[in-house]
Amino acid sequence: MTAFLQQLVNGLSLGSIYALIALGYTMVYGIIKLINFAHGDIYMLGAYCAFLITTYCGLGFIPALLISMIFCGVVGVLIERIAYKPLRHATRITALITAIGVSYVLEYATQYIMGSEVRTYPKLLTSASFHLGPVTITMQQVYIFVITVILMVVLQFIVQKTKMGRAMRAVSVDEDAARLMGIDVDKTISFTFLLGSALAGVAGVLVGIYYNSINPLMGMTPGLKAFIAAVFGGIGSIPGAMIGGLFIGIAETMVTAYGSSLYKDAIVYIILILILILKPAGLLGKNVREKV
Amino acid sequence: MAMLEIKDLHVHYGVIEALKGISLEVNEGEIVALIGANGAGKTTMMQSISGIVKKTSGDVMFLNESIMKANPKHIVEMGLTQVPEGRRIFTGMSVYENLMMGAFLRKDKDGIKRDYEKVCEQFPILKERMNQDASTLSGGEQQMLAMGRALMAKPKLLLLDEPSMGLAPILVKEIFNIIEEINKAGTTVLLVEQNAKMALSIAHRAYVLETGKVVMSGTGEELAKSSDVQKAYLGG
Repeated sequence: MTAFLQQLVNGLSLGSIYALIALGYTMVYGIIKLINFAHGDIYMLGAYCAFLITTYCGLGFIPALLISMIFCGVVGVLIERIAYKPLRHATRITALITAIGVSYVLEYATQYIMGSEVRTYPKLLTSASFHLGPVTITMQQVYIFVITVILMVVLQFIVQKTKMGRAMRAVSVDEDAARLMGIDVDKTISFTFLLGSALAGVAGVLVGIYYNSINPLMGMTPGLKAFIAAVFGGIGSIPGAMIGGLFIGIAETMVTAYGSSLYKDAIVYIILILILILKPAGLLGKNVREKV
Repeated sequence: MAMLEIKDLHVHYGVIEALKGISLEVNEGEIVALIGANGAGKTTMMQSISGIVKKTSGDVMFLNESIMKANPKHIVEMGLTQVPEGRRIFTGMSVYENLMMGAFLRKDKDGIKRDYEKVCEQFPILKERMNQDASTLSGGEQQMLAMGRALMAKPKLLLLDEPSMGLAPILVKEIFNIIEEINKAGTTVLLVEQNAKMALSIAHRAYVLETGKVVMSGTGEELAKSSDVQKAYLGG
């Protein structure tokens, strides 16, 4: 039981990170029906951005986190403007292939500039830990979990209660109808990329701290897993992405603990296959239904 | 002075010419109907006026300003709002949120509140369902919601694209009564309809559209009596 609770705590922190990345996938898909495969690399850029700031400018955790969010947000908006916007009315596969291309550009540009070696992340958060009954919890895990929860609450508030959030939801339901309300669709899409990419940036910083090392290709696997988390929760659904992220994180940790770490990636793909067979719309996915 | 004046408007979808030089005008206070069969270009007409579809050539003047190149946002700001074909309400959002989307560009909180109360009065059924997901509404209720949503923009000119589509005859009547009420309250209306009989019964003036061209125009009464219109659109 103790081991199980311990793994649950570990799974929650890993899952929080997946959830943060999955949110960007799901928001972007919700609004322009594009699987943004470059999203995992935005997360990598977030990690590198904070790495540079803390190593060379000597700033602390909070400023580094905020600057990474802004940096990733801006990069996300630029990618949308340069690569995806001209293709908005092209076939979906064109945009998808472009997203894969953007992903490679980000990975190898970073490799070119920063070198391909693995970097050791500076210690930004205390590595202290405490015991809760028999379970050991590190302060880093607490930080990851608390930051994720705060960001999710803020995000839900933005999407549900603000004017921009309402515009996002309207555009994701019906772009032309949203235009007829006077909504600036381009601006709304940019804002969505800004939010999603900023969250991925946070995930990047947190992972750098948690695992202590970063490299230019670090975004590939977590990116895919977060994508699966988004599909699991129901792509397009924000609460779905949160649940999906936590579920995938916990599943992966449990398999590592009770099975073998060799299967920790496989289990995630098995989940993808199962969900596609059993409930393709995902856990909270919308059943498309229309009244005429 | 015409509120909306369209001169020789051409619109293309790729190489296909959907509107082949349309001229028409809508005067302040009028209900003008645009009737025609499927594929005549009615919806294209509405979408190009609202700026959703690009206008190729000609001129469209609204309140003495050319809106040939204006984006949809600017057109809504100027006071021209559309209730699109098929209602296009925002599913997954509540009835209240849908109405507020209509007031998206407005900043006058008191005015929005007043118009909200007016809409509640005009569509009592919506008031009962304010917190429900809009997708749970029936077809007729959705049409009322789409109209209420457009009214929340406080339009000077209201475009209605096929408001009777898919509705039971009794509801069609109710919807047209409401359109007349809206008009009497001071909103000019441009209406597109396949249900020519209903449209001509409330329209001050009307145009008949055929394959992208205006083939006839006159008062609602004149057109309803015209033998050509009767043969083609009124089933007799």
